[in-house]
Amino acid sequence: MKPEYINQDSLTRLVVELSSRGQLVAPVREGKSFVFSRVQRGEQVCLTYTNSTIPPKFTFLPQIEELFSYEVKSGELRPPKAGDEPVVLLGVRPCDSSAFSVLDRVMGGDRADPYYVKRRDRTTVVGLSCSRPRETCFCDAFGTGPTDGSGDDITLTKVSGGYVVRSKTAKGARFAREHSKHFRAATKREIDEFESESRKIKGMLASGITSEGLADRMGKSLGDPYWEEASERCIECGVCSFVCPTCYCFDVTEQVEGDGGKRYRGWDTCQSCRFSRMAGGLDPRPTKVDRFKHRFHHKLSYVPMAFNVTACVGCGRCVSLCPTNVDIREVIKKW
Amino acid sequence: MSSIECQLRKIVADLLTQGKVAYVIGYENGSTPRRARPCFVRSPEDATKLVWNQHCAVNLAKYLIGTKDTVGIVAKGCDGRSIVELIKDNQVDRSKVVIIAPTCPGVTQSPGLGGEGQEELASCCQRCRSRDSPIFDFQLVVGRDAEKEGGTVGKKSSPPRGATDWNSEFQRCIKCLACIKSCPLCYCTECELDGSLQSLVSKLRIPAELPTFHLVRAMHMAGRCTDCGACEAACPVGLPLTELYSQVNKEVERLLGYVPGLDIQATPPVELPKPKGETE
Repeated sequence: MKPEYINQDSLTRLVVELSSRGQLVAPVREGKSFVFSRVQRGEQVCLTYTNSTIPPKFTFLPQIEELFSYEVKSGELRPPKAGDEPVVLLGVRPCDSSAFSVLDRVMGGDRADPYYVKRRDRTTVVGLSCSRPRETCFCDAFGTGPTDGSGDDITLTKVSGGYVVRSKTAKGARFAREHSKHFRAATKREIDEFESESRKIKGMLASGITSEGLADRMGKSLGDPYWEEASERCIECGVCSFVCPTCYCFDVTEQVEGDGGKRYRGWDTCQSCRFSRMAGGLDPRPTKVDRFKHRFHHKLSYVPMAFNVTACVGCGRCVSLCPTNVDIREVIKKW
Repeated sequence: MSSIECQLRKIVADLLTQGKVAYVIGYENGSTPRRARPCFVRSPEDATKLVWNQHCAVNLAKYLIGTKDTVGIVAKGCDGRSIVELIKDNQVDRSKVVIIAPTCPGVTQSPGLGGEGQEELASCCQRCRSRDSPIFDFQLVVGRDAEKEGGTVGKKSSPPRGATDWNSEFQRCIKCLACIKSCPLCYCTECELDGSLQSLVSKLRIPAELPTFHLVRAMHMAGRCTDCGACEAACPVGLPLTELYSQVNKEVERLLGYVPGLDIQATPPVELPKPKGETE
């Protein structure tokens, strides 16, 4: 599909339109940082942000969600009331969008997770190319950015006075058609600017990290004393997994109410000493070293082996937010 | 290299050469600019990686809990205060810790993921009453070059905050428990707030229960929090937690005259039984 163009004013109008329908989830300022949130007023949206602290994956994987409710007497299971209304997820950075592709492999496919798939299907992801990588960004290592989010339905890239718009999926094309009054075909000058801008931003990222053969390399590291040393400073706070756009592990909890109850699932972290503890107290990962090692192997080796995709997109959140500066880039470089 | 760093490296190298400690917990340069991170020095040669600057924020006392060896530790004022409280709580054996105490320049708080705004002096440092560890085996005092060496305490403080709207602050909490896990004084092996079945709070409530989660924690920090800022630095959503705990501790000081960590001799408001064989 031919690239289109939307100028700043039209985008503002589009944002207001979408938010007035209650369909819009987009980055808004919260103190010094940004969060993705359901937008009530269009002017809250900030598309010049660098990235949000908590990744937008919660749109598809809420931190807590009801799986079903039940009644013991009747034996009845009721699915949760899930909304079908369309959602537009606007301003997703390429790393986070590529993380959706990782989650799609894990949560979709043959044994699809119906809760995830339902939310994913009703959502149009409007990606936003980066214009200013942070010093902790390393999406170039995985080919997940900074201008191409593989989970986008439609992508905006900033050029003079507006954005070049590229539809990537049928859903994206439909979105462009539905809001066609705001778009027009991009001119040659705009496309040229888009291309040179993309090259420039890609040039800004030179992490020197390669993910080639990483899963194999990681496999060989399992018994290495490196992990003892590398994990020493980790305090097991789990911030890395709470802010990770690809972490999907969960815990299931039940709330009993009278003769029935509800079953929920919610984010959990493999860095918690409870995570792998089983009934009876057996724990296959009893030490900090085991848990630390597991996190990196899961992302860089187990998921690649099972789903043919690396479960790291180089967003750098864990790098900048780890209180003790555990840096996944160093782990990747080491192996 | 500052003169403090120079002295620090020498002391650490000597301790390791003489076999007085198994290792020394200190700071090295981080993986990104303007960051320092905990490091564990095991050989005299490695002492050269030690640094001392305003980025040495992590409270190293956390790493003393559960150690069996005799270890050395580089301690700022707040690390030292935390060690004092850990000694009083029988979590750390004073005879097995060699404390190297350089004067703290005050540490900076990173502006967070958004990367907006300047790094500023951590809020706890703006309130700090003692930049030096109250207990030490080696004290490294900043000489006449104190000003040049980055004595930032009380200088670059940001304007005072307005009244904090705690309800709206707590709404942002994702209950990741990083505040608890990062706290040097949180050494309980089972936590009442971790959302497990027997805990006071439920895993199913996000944001955290108001006010149970945060106030239970605040009360538990009463008479114990050394205002080191570890929780605030770890919190991914940037809750001003030390402000809350310091309010609580102001009351403890007013009512009971106790300031956590300042005085190794002072009896804590909640006294724990002494280990066997030890008398007053």
